[in-house]
Amino acid sequence: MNWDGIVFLGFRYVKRNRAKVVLLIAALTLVWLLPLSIGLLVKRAETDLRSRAFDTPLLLGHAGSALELTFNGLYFTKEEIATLPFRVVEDILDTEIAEAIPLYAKFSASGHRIVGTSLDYFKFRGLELAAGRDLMRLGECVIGADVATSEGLGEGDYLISSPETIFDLAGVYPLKMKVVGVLTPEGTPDDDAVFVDPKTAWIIEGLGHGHVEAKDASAEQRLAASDDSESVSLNAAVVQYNEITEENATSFHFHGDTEDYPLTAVIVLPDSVKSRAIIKGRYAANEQLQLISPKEEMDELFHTVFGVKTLIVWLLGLVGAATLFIGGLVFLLSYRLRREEFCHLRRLGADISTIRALIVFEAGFVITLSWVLSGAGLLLIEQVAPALIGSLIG
Amino acid sequence: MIQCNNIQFAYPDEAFELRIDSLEVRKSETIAIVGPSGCGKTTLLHLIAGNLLPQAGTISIAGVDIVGLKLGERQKFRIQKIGMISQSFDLLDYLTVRENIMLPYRVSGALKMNRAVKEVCEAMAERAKIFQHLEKFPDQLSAGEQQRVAVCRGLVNQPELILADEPTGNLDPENKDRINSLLLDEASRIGATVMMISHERTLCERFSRSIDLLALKEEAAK
Repeated sequence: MNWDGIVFLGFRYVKRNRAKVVLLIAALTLVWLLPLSIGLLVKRAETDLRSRAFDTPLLLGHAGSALELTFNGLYFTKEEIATLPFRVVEDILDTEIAEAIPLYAKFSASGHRIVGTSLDYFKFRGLELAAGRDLMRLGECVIGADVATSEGLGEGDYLISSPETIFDLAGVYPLKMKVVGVLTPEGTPDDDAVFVDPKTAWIIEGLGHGHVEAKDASAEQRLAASDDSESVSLNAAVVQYNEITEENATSFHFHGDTEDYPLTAVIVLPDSVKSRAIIKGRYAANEQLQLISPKEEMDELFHTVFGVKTLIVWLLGLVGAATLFIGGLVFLLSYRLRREEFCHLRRLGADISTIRALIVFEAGFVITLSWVLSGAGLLLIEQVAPALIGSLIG
Repeated sequence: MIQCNNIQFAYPDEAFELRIDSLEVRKSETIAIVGPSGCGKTTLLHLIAGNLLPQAGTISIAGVDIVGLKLGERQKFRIQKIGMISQSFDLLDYLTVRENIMLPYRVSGALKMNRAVKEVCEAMAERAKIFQHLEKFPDQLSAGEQQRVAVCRGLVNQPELILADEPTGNLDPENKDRINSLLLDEASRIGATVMMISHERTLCERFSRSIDLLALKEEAAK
């Protein structure tokens, strides 16, 4: 067998017939890549979503879509879900059989979700600071590793919340938040979140605010004929603070009862299996609220996803088999057309094993290259999988 | 150079039969094989090349009984000693003219590529007036040019015996003459024996002698 000749002739044939070869390689690459990439994405999504759901025992939210509540409470997506009042946190804590962690994931800053929560959340998720300190005061934020990287932020920098009431002249201005801590990367949605105290989130919503003291307000900031000995009414010209500093922190206040202020979800951590059952029983009949197990929701979701995936993979398998059949036919017809050429090569001194090796080389070249490209494609998909899955659940 | 004795050959399940009592060709002789279609001219060429084996008789090339050689030895002998040129050019469309000419050195383990081979190839291409086409592909050449490439490829290993199966059959009169001249001139240059099949008696005038295969067969039948 003359390997030099085989490689020489094989590459020359491929080069001269590159359009046909490129088409065959592309078709075969898709045959391998599509089902594998779907499998990879589903597996990756399952791993990511399930692990977080598995770690979250119970989630309390407003009655409605359990799946939307799961996505908001676990991945901070689906911001437009119905809210529940802050008092439910107190209600759960009062039972003394479970811990409750409030979550208010509604607003964003530079495309990153602002999550109003308590310090218990960091402990619960095992989040650690790479730099800085925990939240201590209103207007401060602790950012995830991806936020720090993508926005180029670090301890001491500032992050401004996105305007929520842009068409409301009397509405809330964006809040300038001070970054006091940066979390270590976890490979979870926490990396892409901006954590604040729930009260800071409420200030962003306009439920709390800070402004110049009424006694210090200028005449044009006061309402005409409203000044009496007991109170001073101010008009819209009064200066509202869009940053909470040591100097103005005491001026920030909330109107109304904060117990009624909104949350998007509450993570409930029962202290035992029995407590879990008691808590679940307590909310089972509640028409306003729902207490769900994220793990069960994810199990149900993936049951559906796997069904769809299996169907798609089967369909792709059929298309792939048809493609392989056509590819095989192309090879077969090509070799029938080249029969004279092979006879001629035999007359020029090529032995039969050289001819066979030449055929295997050309077919092997196409198949191997399609495998290499599929592998490269899979690596690429693995790289973009988190972003892709994030956009799918977003 | 060629010594055939009492050859008998028949294709399986066919009525055709080739019988030759004796055929002798001397070294450097140029022989034109003539005869009507279907009389066995191409079969005779393939018997002499060792591509076919007779059911009886002996064929000796340069003193070697090729019928007695094993398949691999016979193939090696043919590659080293015999150059073949066919009517259909048999050029590979995905190789350049240069690569086509040197193809025997690429596919056969019996021939070793070296610088001298490349020089022979270029010199021959120069004489065949296809040097400027060496980097072109066969489909960029005319039929006459393609056959000149085929002649160069048949002679690139400087064979002792050249077997040509109607190499001018597909060409116009001008190209027929040109190919004929090229073949005989190159053979003369390397001292090779030529055995060429032709239907056209005018082309045979430049050959040492013509052999009428039909007459040979009739003689054997007596």
